[in-house]
Amino acid sequence: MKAYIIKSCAISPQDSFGNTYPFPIADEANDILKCIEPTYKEHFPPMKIRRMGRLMKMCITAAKNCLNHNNEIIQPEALLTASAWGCLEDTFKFLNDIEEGSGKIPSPATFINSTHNTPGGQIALMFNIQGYNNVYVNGGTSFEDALQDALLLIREGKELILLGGFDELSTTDTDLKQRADHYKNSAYKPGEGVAFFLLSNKPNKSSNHIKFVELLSGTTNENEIATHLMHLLDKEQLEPSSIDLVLSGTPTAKLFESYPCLAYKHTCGEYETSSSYAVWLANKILEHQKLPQGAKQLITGSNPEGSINNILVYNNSEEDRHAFTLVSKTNL
Amino acid sequence: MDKPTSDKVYVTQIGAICACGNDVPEIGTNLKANRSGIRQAQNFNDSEYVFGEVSLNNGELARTLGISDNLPRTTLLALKAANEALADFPNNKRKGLNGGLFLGTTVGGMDKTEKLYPTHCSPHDYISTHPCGYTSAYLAKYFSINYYNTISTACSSAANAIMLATRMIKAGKLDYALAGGSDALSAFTFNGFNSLLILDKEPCKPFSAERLGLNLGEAAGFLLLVSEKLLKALNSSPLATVQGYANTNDAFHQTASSPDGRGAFAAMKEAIGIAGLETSDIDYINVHGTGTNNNDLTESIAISRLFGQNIPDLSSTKAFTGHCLGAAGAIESVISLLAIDQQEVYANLNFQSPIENVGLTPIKECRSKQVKNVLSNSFGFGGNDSSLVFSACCSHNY
Repeated sequence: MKAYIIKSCAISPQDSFGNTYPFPIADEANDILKCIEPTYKEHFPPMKIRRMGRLMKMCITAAKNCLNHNNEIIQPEALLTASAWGCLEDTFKFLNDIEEGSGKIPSPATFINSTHNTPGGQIALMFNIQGYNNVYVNGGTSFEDALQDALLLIREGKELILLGGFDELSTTDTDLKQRADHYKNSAYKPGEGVAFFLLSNKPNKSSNHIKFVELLSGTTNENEIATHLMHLLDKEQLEPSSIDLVLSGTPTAKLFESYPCLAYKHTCGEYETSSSYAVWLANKILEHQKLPQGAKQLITGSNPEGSINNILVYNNSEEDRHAFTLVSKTNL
Repeated sequence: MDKPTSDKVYVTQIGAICACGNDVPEIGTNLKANRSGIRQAQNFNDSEYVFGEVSLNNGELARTLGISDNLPRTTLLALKAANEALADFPNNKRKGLNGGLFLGTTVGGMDKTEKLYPTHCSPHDYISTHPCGYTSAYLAKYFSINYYNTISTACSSAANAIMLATRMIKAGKLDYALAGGSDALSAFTFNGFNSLLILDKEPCKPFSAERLGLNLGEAAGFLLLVSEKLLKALNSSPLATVQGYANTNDAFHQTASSPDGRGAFAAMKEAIGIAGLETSDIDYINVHGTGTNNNDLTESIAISRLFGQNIPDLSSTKAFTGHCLGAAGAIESVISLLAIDQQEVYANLNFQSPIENVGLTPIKECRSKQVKNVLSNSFGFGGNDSSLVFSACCSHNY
């Protein structure tokens, strides 16, 4: 079952929210990659979002962008949100508040803003989405878990689904994950981002689609992973050569030695739901038939020749967990 | 492409731990005896309030499990309940099968984080156990289950975990699943709920006009779900089917339900519809019934609207267990399955008089009854409303 991408929107450390593509990749001098936030008052009356945390504001803006069609807000039948850490900033704000001797009175607003289903709840509330609403908080595959449920919902008959993946770096104090060297084994700096997708069971004239989302865990053996991928392509009736480009979250995948393989985390940073940015990027590449700008991004192979029809996003955000998402051009 | 199946999904085992029992038999005994687990906390620090606290401390839980207790309590509780649910289905019986683990939780490792955070311990000590996904990952590794997922939709988390597991088995993606939830008591949640002014210092009075709020609880519960094909291969005698399920959003307010309980109404109606049943087929509703002003009123209204003149027997068992948040849907699914297994319905303790204008009177003490179809409600903040329907299997003697 395919999921057609009707619209997508990413807020990231790059100019992904602007309408230009390819945008120049910002050369990040800092030790973290922080989002370029939109000017919220261009999208919402300030009163409407003043109580929202930073991550929540980014989510609601990206969600609105996906639901906005010719200035009309359309209503999906389901809303899926994925985040490994949830609303971290408000979580640690509340922890500070309740610390003994802090002298602070715990704020109910901070508590509610810290809960994992706040983005899903607030988006549903603002856009009156009364259907299936689920939140996936499953570490490095949270986004793919949400995508898999979206595909299942489409198989069950749902026609329009809003789905988002996101994680934030805390701005008050140094981010906890950073302080804990949580990403010390990564080749990339800690990052953050929000990426939303409006998915449908039917294509419109310009939509690409997600052909499959496959999870594999329990192995670090490259041969095993390669074999699994081959079987998967075979099952989907795809020749390995039909993959025109790989977007890889890890720079050293021998797996893709013979493919044009681009990195993406040097632009969005390392975070558990960063593959949501990669899928957004894949969609953009297919749409414009142009690779993103910037040097040092090609890991293997040379630039793809001819048209780009199939892009494989590879997420290896935990050592023995692998996720493969294929984003493809739709032949109407 | 996997062929979807219209086959049923069966519950063959259950495991649980909560304030009124450290395992399913103990929970069953106390439910029958109308004996609540709500009391002053022994391990959790606050003397002004009562809680549904599990009677084992972390050290005791760890010793029972034979592991290090440097794990978050949410993980320890989950392990205890999961062990019970998988007792007859060890690793060697599961080899070669596609298994999944589905956990609903809101607290995650916060019970450990909050202890270390104020001491300005290095975050290295709690960063990896903090996220919700940690417990699922740990359990999946412990039980050698390849696929796992973690859901956090406030008080409907575990119900949504069970629903997703069921749908994936139906779709042919899994042969079996361990699905449920776990949440430990934490100062974070206690302070949060207290700041919302919805806690009762005394044992809660769900669905009662005299209700003053909820009692926080902690629990873990798991259902072992199997496909029809696996059930036949195992030659198991199932407890029930997960016959119906639904997930809707109230989209009214972040922390309050709509006055006509539209999300709750839609969840119950859809779950019963998926089950292929009529409202008149429901023998017992295990309501969400937290004891708060808002939930009990709106849930009562939604039930009245849906069931009309024929309201089934109903009760909130939160006066036994407390409100176990992300695990509520799991512990209450276990209780719903006990109702089917034992052919009885359970008490809504502490009930005094019906809520004005809505007038629902719950069951006041445990009694025997023919129970075929049970509806279990879990309605959470963020408008996350979910309902499950469990049905006795044809082979059941009742």
